[in-house]
Amino acid sequence: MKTNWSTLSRGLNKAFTMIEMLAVILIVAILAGSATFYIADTMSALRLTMTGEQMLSLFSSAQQTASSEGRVVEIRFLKYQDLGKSAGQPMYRSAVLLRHYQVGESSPDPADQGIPLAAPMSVVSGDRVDAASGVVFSEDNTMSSLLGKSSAGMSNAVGNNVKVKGTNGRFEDWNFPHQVTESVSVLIHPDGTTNLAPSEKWFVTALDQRSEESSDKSNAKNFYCVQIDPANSRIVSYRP
Amino acid sequence: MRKGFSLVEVMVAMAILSVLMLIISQMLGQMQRTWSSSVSKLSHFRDGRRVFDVMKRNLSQATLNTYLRYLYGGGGANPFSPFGTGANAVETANTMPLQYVRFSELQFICGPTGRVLPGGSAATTPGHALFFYAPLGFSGTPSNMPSALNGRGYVVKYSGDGNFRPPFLQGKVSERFRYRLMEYLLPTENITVYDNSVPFATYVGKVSQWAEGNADAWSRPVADNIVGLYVSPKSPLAVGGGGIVGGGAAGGGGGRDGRSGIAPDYFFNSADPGFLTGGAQPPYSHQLPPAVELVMVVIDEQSAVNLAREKGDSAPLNLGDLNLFSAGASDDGFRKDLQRLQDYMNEQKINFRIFTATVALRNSRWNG
Repeated sequence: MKTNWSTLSRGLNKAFTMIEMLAVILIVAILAGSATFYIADTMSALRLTMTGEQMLSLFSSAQQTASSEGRVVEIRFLKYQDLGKSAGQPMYRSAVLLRHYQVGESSPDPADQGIPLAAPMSVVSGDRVDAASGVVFSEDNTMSSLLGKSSAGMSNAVGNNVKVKGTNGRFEDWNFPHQVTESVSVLIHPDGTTNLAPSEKWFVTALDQRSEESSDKSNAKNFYCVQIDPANSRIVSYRP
Repeated sequence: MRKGFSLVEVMVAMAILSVLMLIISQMLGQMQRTWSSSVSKLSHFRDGRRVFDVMKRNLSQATLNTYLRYLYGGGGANPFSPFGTGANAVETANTMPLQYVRFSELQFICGPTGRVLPGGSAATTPGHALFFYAPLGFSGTPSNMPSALNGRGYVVKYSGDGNFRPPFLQGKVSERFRYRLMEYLLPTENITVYDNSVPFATYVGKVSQWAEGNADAWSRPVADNIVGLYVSPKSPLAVGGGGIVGGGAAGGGGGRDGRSGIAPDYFFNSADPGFLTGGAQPPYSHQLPPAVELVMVVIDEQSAVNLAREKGDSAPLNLGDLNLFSAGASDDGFRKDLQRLQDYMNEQKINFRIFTATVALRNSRWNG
């Protein structure tokens, strides 16, 4: 039996028709459309991961600084209204790292030429976490005991004399660009102990702003939880 | 020219494209694996190193506050009391002290976990346990007493993290089964060794009597992926065979030489009550060892994840079966066991690191 190669090849060489092209474009469009839906989800998960990882590294950097420099290091969580975006409730969106200097310690300000400090001082370094857009640190007690509990060990009046190194090398007062309505401080001591009550569990969770605004926060599908041990400052992270 | 691409041409192009994509995706996956494994190696050995430093610092401050007192051996439960028992306690009092002895309410104890904390499972608590008192200033309520006395202990345990993690994770994140270094932190206010209501006979020499509740209640994990901890008390000078006998098992067995001779079977209990009922006080009794050699084995997180995936809640490594550092604590035996440990870990084909250090105990007044 002989195959009619010329007919077959003519059939294969035929160009696509308009209808065929349209069908293909339609299918591609449908696929792309459904992909966007998932990509949006992925993007918000990515932002959450980024914020969570920054928070984790802020904690471990605080722990390391405390033990290597032999000084009390504070992580201060700041609650404010994000005016740049939609006006809404103030929420915890940032955390900064502060090094504490005690009375009598020589001043870290080069302009003071090492004279002993008359008042305790804390210095903001570059380490800071700003939650990505649409991500906040939960203040719900079950999700974030650190920010949700107004416990005795959590006074936020630690070190109001906050300085930052200015551009000219001179220390100046630190001003946070937003109106901070509340703050919570975690102090890590050089020996690994903290200012948190050792009998409780302490953790902070970053989640989607919409989940935080909803009534059942603990049902959030995606979150990034960082736990710190109050007695030995072991840091662990949890993700679903 | 009305000729478009033929089906064959399109198919060939797609085949080439898909092969390319396959190669690229595999390369990306490989890169991702290399990256994450190196990151996890770095970060987790860093955690181990931090914990090892903390442990060394705390151990070097171990204290006993040993003092000298008369041993009467009266008829009562307390051998330091001259009085007898019952109605004629005074009449039957032993007015002549038996001997002048060192004593301390505090304790330093280390050795195979099964001997220090009887009742535990050898598979889930491999290696050694170490318990001591030190002025570390840890208190359950915020206070400013930097040198307040604490009980402190270390033991490796394989367990899930259900008890330590935030409660809301229940049902959302599966439990992580890991080898963890557990730190026993006894707050100052919970030390009960000076409590008169605790009968002398029940408390002496027992870690479980240090505080209300058992050692578990005051323990918390301090680092993940620590699979082994071994403790070997050392004397500053070599101790000859038949010299000083370590706590617990008396005499017997050769190889008791070198600096490890003060604890020939790696067991050291400063509060061993044996001498209270008669005989001379052994040299290790109510004394701190002058130095302690620590060996800590750390694995990386990725290996731990793989192990946990394979074995779940049953301990994946069999370090306990090797009977490492359990007898023959000569300097030579110590080195051999260290080599065996290294060989075993190499066989498992997992990333690991062994930390070793000799810690000098500042408060030791050793005169063996």
